[in-house]
Amino acid sequence: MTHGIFTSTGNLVAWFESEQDALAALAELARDEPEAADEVAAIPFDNDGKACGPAVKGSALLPKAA
Amino acid sequence: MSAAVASFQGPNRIVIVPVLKEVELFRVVNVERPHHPGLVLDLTSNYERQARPRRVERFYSILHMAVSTFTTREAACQLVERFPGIGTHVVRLRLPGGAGFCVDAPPKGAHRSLWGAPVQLAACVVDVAPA
Repeated sequence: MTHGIFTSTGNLVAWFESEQDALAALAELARDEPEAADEVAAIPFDNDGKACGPAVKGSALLPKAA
Repeated sequence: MSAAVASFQGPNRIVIVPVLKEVELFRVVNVERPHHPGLVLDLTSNYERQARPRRVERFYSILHMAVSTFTTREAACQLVERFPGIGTHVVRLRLPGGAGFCVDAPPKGAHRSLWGAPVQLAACVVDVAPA
């Protein structure tokens, strides 16, 4: 299984071999551009290259406001 | 070594090949017909949209200039199912060989990065269907 980060424009940003790496990268992207955190998401892909699990949006990884 | 170079994350190389014989690829879009004025934008890379490069795109501008496609409609539809905000429909692109289009050649998977002028890509759309 691989994990892709896609933008809401339908374009791939990067592939990752592990969910942990993908989510760490997504969190970094969300921190860099919090205003665009809803526009990027990490998605798991099966070995045939099909999305096989729910997308995690960058906004879900932003620290919650106090 | 600069901090930017030291932070490099990404493949050591990427294989990109010209489309030399007709190939079909599928792309998620937000339009419901081939001649919709919004189609060209839906076939435009993040680079051409002047989006800020992210992660590996900072090192490989070529990746920032690509649009994502899939080798099967099913794979494109699966992406919409999992990330609904990404689009509503899937177009079939029938790319002729020798027209300047290029794709990557990953070792596995259905995803293909595609390079081509958006207007030319739009002219290659042969059908649009709901995702």
